[in-house]
Amino acid sequence: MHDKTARGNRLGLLIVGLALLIPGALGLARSLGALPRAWAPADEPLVGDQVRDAFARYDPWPWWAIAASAAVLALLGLRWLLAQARRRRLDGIRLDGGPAGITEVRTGGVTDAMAAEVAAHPSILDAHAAMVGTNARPAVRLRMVVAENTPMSAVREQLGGVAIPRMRQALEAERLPAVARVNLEDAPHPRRTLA
Amino acid sequence: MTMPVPDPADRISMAEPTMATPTAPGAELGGSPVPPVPGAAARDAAADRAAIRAFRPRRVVPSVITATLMTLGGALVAAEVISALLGRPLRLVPYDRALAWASSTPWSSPQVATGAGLVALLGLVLALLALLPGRPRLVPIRTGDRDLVIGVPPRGFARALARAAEQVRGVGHARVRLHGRTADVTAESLIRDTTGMADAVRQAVHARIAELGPVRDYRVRVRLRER
Repeated sequence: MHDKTARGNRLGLLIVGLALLIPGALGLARSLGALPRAWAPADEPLVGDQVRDAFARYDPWPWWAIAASAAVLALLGLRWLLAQARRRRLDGIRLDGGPAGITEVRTGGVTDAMAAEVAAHPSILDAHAAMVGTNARPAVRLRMVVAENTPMSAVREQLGGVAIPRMRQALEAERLPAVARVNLEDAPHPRRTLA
Repeated sequence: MTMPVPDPADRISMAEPTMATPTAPGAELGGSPVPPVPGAAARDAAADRAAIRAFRPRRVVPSVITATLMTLGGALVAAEVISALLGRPLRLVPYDRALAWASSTPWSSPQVATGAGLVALLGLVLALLALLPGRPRLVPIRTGDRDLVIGVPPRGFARALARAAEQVRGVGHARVRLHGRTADVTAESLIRDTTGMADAVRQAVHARIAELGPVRDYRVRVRLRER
């Protein structure tokens, strides 16, 4: 799921970071004459005779190697980029069992019903739900708006005690992890309303 | 940009008196500011971890930038080299000039030092972005259930605490800022005698925090201002 993207992003940034940091630091060290003169003198040009000789001797293989590495780099970058757009939404879920075989349930109806159930609580002003994940491991994402003075225990009860168990039953899922984003509504200034 | 890494042995109980330095007159430590909240969620370490992890930043922006540059750079180099190998160079980049410059510039030139330094710095920034945990996007709320993660946007959370401070007698407008795990309350006093006011504000804010029940408790620091 998106956990995977988050981990991939971390790993990708770390690898690219090190791939820049290490050569950059070595280049800086060579430029400042901090590396041993024997193999990395600072007074040679960037592209010296040795480099030219190597390219000339093995021509054209170094160029093919560069081209291949660049192409691989571009493909990795593209894959990384596409991973950001990974859709996690689950529109249908298959339930098996029963003599009729497999039933496919559209999640839209289920999530709408759930959102309505959540919003039935007087302090919960608005709720939206969507299924994410995979058929085998479905999960729910919720966004809701609650009145500012609502104790969180009420929200927790409404979700964990009522709405989620019912949805789990409807989907015949053993577990149904839910992530809820709860916006506290900016209530009108209490002094003005209480007066 | 980032929060200090939380220490593992982090056990600030909800009812513990604040350890904030009182900056207002009449503020004193002691007493038990918050009675235990009825219906508070049970503490469950696995559930708490799940909640904190759910709202860690995903580093999408630096990743998209880096991945885009990687794709474009790789494609450009591949296209240039392959086209030249096939005898029909594209020449999108003036590489003859670049080669001439590289052949005549020694490693010790300040330009090379600067360039290499910038590359190293950029690499360091990316590596740090990857390694530092980052500030969570939402304030995780304790649920005691690892399959139920609740988060509140920090702005709304701070606003709720400010409203709680404003309920205290003699307090006018109040503002709360979250700095890491400290809630900085700036409250405006409408009356002269502010004896005990800072303490009352702190208690009110603590009570509201307990009601909201974040996974990690917040220290409360109160600053009173006269109107």
